[in-house]
Amino acid sequence: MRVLMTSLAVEAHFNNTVPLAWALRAAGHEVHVASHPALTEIITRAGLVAAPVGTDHTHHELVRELGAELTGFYRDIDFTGERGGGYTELKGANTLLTATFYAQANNDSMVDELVDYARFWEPDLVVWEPFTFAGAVAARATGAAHARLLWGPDLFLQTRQTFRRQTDLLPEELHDDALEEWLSWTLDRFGCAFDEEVVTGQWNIDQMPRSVRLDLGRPSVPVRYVPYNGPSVIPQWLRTPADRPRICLTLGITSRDLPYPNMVSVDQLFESVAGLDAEIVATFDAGQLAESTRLPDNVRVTDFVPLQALLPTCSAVVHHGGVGTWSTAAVSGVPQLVVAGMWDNVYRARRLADLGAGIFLPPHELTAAALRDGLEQLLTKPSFREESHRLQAEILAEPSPGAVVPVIEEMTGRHRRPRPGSR
Amino acid sequence: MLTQTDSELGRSLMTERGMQWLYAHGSDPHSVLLRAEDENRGALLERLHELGPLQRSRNGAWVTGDFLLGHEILHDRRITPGTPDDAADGHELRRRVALLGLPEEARERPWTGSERCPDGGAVEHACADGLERIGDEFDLVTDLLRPVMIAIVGDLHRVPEADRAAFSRFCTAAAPVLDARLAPPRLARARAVIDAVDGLESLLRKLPGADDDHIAATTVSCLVGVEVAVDLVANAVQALLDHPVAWRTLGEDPAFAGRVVEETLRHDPPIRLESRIARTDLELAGQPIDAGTEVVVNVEAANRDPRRGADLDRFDPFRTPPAAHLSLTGAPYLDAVAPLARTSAAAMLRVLAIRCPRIRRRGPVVRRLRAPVTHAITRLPVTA
Repeated sequence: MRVLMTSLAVEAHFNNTVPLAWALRAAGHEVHVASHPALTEIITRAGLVAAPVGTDHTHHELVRELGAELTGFYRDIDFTGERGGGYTELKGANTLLTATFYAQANNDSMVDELVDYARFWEPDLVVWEPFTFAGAVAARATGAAHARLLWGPDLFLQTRQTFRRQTDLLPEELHDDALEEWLSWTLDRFGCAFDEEVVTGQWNIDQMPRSVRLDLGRPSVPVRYVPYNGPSVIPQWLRTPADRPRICLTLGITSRDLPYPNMVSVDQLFESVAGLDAEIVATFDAGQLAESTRLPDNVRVTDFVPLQALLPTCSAVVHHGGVGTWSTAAVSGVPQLVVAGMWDNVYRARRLADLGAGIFLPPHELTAAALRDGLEQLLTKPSFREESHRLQAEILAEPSPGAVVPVIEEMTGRHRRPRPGSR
Repeated sequence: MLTQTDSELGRSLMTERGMQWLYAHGSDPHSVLLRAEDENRGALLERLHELGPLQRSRNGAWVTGDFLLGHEILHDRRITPGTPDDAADGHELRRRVALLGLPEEARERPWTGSERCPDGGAVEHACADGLERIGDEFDLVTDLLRPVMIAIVGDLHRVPEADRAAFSRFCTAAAPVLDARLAPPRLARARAVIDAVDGLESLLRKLPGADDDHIAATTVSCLVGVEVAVDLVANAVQALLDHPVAWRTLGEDPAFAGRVVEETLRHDPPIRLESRIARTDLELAGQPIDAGTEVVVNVEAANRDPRRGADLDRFDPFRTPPAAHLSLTGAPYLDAVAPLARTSAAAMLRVLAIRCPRIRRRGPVVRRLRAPVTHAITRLPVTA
């Protein structure tokens, strides 16, 4: 079959779609990856076939322009749903995220060309990254089956279900769902109407381990998380065992290029590990390093090293909570100290702490001393390692991307609208 | 003519609305009032007073909740209604509803006296007739006030019988026009407002003696006049439902209706925000204001200015003497509708109080979505 995969042009989001793309390809299916032109090289470097569509989105410029005002709003959005902020908060998040993120990252030219491409190539299945609603629109416009490929716990849909339930209790004239509105006029360009399936996908492909996954009553195909960290080379220094405990410090790749604020400064990270009897590997680029005033002598700085090679050699990892880092650490069985304060990072960090496989340090508790104390706990309390191994085992017990290909084939057959001319 | 596609118009409305949510995330009270979502109005108006006579809001507008400064701004002919000079990038709805920037000449011209204001007796009659038809359980706004006002204004401007159904449809659909000036509506509603304003204009164009000034002024009378009168009565009834003594007084003393109207205009103004544009560089409260900048009078806040007296937060039609207010003053478009609204509101209130002495709420009050200007009650179910 023909599978069109799509992701908005953010490398960390795209990377989570790569192993499944490989698996489908290796099973003999045709796989094309459509995204903004900005992602083309990143797609092709993953050994995949790129179909650039539209012009590049401008979400990052918007974040740069509005700065802390916008990221401050984002940071205050309660993605965990635990704060119980009420309907106004849910509506505000839906309105602002649609205006500044969803509809920016799925700009009109990108959506239109994606639909054009789908009409030309006639995929049987569209697999879309959860914020790349353009994929659902293209599927709707062509009759392809479509699935949402989840890279994290489905907090988005959980929040949305709550919002929709509460909206339904209001008189019709007070319904105010920006995401529905935007998708409605977008679908209307192709003669299609909105329904909630454009937001949920016909089913999910879910890469989260069972104890972190959310069950929201949607059809779901669980799949093992397999790390893809980008084009990777094993450096010489990583080919011999460490003589002291090794600790990784990383802030991921997304904040290098995007104007999102870091929750923790490079200096704070360095101060927390200074003098520690450990080998510290910090994955910072020149820009991040320029923020630091003092480099402790136990720290090795490297611009990039594949986390899937580094983390299995580490006794602990300190990071910002991004999904790529979190998942690679989880599948490597390494205890994590997560400094998370935004997006879905908070929920994942908290779940990790609940499971005993790591420590969650919220930004308001963050000091170098608290970081160091957390690190020492990770290194000395055996329970963290045990629970990290338990989580790792849970992930490895899930079916691999290759193993779920037949399930995806079957689901596609069930959901695809028959093409005119076929039987 | 409208040239924007749904995607273009929708995106610009959506983006502007998103920015209103973003700005309201800060501590600026005007931004929270513009967002118009579940706000604690009392606290926000208080905050506006605390911040001083004139503040710059996050969206660039200068805002006052001060009575004297508000009065000065509303009567300063260098500061007039309309759209900012830099509105070139604004959406078409914005340009469409700029019609409220009625020219100065419209203050006196182009109506004869009888077109300006209905006879109170005729309104009483229409209201009593309306009540006869709808029984004991009805929605005050949709079943009574709006149909009655639309009929009154249709009579006033001699809309032919054959056009009355369309006229009524246009007036109803265009009701959010005052709010649409300051808060972008949802796409469907924006389209409905644009279509209704266009439809109303072409309908009025067919009337005998219609020149451009006449059509502009009559459009305002139909759009703003109906809306202001309906909101005024709905706000008054909403307040009086909690003041049985005042309701009884109104039923016994028809002259008391004037008091109720003025106190409602003060305490719950039908137009809460008056947005103006400085047409030249000028100074307000010692603050230089650039030409082209938006200046907003928060009429609701000014009417409750604590420096003008204690207790102005309270609705009290028995106040002696009545408290002064800034509602419905200081712009041609307001001068064009104020007599209509006052006369009609007083007449309808008189009839309601006499005919429905035991009126009570029958369900929750619904207010219009994204309505920072009117905060309009769109549904008020009652039992007579």
